[in-house]
Amino acid sequence: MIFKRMAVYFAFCQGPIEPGSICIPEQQNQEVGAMAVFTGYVRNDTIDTQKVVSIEFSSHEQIAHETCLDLMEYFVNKFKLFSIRIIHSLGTVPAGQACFHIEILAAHRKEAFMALAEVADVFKRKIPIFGKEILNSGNYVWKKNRY
Amino acid sequence: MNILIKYFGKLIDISKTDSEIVQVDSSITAQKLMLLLHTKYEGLQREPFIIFRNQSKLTDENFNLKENDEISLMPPFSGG
Repeated sequence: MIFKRMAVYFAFCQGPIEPGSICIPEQQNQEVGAMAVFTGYVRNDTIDTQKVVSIEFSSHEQIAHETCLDLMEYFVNKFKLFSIRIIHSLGTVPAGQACFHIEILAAHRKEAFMALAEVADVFKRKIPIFGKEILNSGNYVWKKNRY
Repeated sequence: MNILIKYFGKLIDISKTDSEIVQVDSSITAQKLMLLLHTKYEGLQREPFIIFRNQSKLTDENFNLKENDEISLMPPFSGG
């Protein structure tokens, strides 16, 4: 499901984010001077001697959609960006594979870098997405974000 | 009246379901609904969560709920 509003784009995808979908896209706006990109991967953390082998993501998709688009519009205005594009996985993502991706277009790298850090941080705090960390034993724990 | 309750994250482990319809008095407040759910699922009392009513965050516990409201209980977010 894709949600789009003017300069902001947010999509959930089932499972890992495919590398082909996050290669640097062609863009033709000659006023753009910088693209800042972040990709988050599922990391094989060790929890009580067990390894995380995957994360199962779930969400209240409707609230996530509205909240994310509102937040992205706020950041477009705050940093005078051209666009923000975010993709996040739902379902199972194995360790080592991509689950979270942000692309930001701006006139200059300063705004692009600053916006990228803040968008990533606020997204993790404000968007209703939940992660169940599956361990190599077959057990699981609910993910807790650290800030 | 019927209220749809949706559970997310760790709360699903406590309620053993991701959603359910509960039948309550027509004049029930959000606070009284939470007391009802805490009684039904003792583990809820130990977990932090926020409450959404029909996709909007609920800030007034004394708000009177309406027939067919969707109440979502969400623990701290862990995406990204």
